[in-house]
Amino acid sequence: MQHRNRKYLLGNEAIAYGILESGVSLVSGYPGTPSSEIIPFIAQQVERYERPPHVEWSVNEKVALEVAAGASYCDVRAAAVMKHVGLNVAADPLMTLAYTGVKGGLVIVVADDPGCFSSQNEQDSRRYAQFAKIPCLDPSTPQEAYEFAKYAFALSELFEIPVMLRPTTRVSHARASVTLSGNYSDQRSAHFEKDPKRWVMVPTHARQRHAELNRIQPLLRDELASLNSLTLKRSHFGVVTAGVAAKYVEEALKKLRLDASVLRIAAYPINNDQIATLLSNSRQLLVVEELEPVIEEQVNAVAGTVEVCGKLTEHVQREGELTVDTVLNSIGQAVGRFGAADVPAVLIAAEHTLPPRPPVLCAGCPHRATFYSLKKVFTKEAIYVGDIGCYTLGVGQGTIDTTLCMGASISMGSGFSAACDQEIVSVIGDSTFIHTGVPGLINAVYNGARLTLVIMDNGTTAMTGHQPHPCTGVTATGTCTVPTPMEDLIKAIGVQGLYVVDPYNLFETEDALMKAKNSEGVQVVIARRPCIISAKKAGTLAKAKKRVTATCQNYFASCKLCSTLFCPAISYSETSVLIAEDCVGCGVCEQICEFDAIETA
Amino acid sequence: MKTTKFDCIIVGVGGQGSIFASRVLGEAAVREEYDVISAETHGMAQRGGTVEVHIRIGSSFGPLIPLRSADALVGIEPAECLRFARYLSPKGTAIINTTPVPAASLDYPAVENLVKALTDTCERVIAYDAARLALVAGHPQTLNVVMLGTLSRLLPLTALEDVVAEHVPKKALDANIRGFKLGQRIFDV
Repeated sequence: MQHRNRKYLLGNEAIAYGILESGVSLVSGYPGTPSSEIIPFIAQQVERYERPPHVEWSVNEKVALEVAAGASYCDVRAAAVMKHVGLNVAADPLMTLAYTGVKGGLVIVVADDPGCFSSQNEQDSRRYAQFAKIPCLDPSTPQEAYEFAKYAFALSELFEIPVMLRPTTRVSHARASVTLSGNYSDQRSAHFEKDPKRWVMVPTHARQRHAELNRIQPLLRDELASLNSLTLKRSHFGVVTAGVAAKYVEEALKKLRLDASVLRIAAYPINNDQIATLLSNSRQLLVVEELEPVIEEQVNAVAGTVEVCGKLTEHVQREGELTVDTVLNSIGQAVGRFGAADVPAVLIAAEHTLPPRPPVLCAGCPHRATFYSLKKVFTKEAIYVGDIGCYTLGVGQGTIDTTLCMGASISMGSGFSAACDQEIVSVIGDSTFIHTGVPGLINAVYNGARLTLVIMDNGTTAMTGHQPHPCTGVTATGTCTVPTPMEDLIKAIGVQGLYVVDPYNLFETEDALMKAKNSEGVQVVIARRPCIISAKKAGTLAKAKKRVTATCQNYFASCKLCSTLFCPAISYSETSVLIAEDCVGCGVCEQICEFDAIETA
Repeated sequence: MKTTKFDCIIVGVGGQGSIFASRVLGEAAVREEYDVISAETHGMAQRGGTVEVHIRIGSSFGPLIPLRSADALVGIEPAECLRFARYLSPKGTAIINTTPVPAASLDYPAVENLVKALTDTCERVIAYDAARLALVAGHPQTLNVVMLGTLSRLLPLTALEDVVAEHVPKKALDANIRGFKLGQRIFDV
């Protein structure tokens, strides 16, 4: 019989169970791969509760952490969930929250993305934990992520400090058999005890709290040492490792039939005692960790005459994610053995013949239509300042020139407009606009920027899996709420011109863009049309597919105008345009065809 | 906990159901008291991009399978199958659907050449038109389940068909079960 509490869970679902079983009263966050599944999974479960925890998609990560901090100050448990770059946004509350400390357990789940599978960088959140002087738990499997989530609340309350739980992509997005305890703690009742010396960070109080934060550091190191594991072997070779890389090390050593002592670090800050024991047993250590050499630097500081290999000696790659194969190579290089298996030449030759499948905007994506109109009106001479979302893929249409971070399109656009004479077009999505775009827009108007802002409003946070946001009028738990009125907000900021268009209507869109282009100051064009995936799910996609008529063949050789759309439903035979099954009938190609060779099927 | 180990890679393009196939496989393995871990990798695109799933039954290691060590490689799309053939063990089995999904670039290699590269580098290749079998079964979207049926003959699992039945939509149940059985029978041809 299958154990009742053994489930096949995504790492993020395991974390969600850990949070729920801990009797959490509040969960907040902002979507971001690979962390996005945690909050929806918790939101799905809350209806089972008589007194459900409060679950929210916050406006951004700074807001999410502050919301969680407020609950925690009232002695109830709270979690804030985000991806690694989200922690940059939340860094302001984080650094001082470490000083005030917390009451109810406060766990910050931060998912790192080694290899940038869906991120603009691969920063290491362990550095943030070190910087803020808060503990960080580094799980290597979904099972451990679940257990660490529960432990994190207890640890947070023991030391009255926020605790970071830091899974990586291969933990968050691994799916594994996980055994759950099934024991749920009750939520506590909230009570805020006024204590200005503790909660009001004026300089005199902050200095005292900083001393307290420093006082607990050695205590934290001692407490966390029990999570690490040290296996000593009669070998002069030792490995220090952490996170999912610890699993790769285990497998690589077995594959190589190599005896090595292994210290697996599961939490930070690290106590030097275990490192010292390993050092005294070894002549050579290899440090295998993803992203930054956090452990390696600490080992180096106490290594003495023991040779330490790792990222700093180029035994372990500095960028990208590790795999069993990269670890085999690292160990091989350190001990003078063969590493990963060779790939046969015949396979490498065959791989070279394979067609690439780069990510593209969906067939019928409204963004594609907007980009087409933008290119036509503003031409390739304009500077297209981009943002974070699906529309980053507009780079293929030549209508995204920069991507930096959430909200940067508008503020960088202001900088571009002050610095150079070209036309400036800032491109942002609806969710990103609300996340951090609004201050940039206020700034642009206030400081007299000259730009056209295009808000590609598809009514969702599409890239990360269609989460709602304030303008949608729906919360994380699916309940209706007051929708943030986007147009009123923009008008209240004082923009000089505001247009709302349907991007499928090229004439209307180009007309609005042309008016914006020919006007002064900050102009805003909202290109509004639901995300094609949302529309399919909602069953609101009633449009008939398009087909190509025989006329196409007459002009085909010299035309192919529709290729400028980069639509995945459009391909070409020797003699004609072809429209594939995935056409959703948006009709954009029909509008741009100069020979009326595309019609409704 | 059972200890037989089986490492499998399932690849395809978005919309072909690679992830569904791996989830069903994982559920079945958990039900039969195996440890399971898998890694799903899909790029930024919701549809049309490469989807790569590593799934390890009876393993306590990490989710990523090392090069040249998978027991089976299921290629729901032929070019994608080759893209990940480097993970298949020389002693492993490749199960490859021979109907391609065209990519944006028009140059698609001859499927015979792809099958040949597999045949040269692993012990057994089962190449067949699984897309056609899916049509025979009653729905083109049963393609992943057809291939799961073929894979089931290599697996230490007995409950796979039941788990498939539990996870497919009710109205598509018959087609999927037909597809699963057609896939199983490929071995007998």
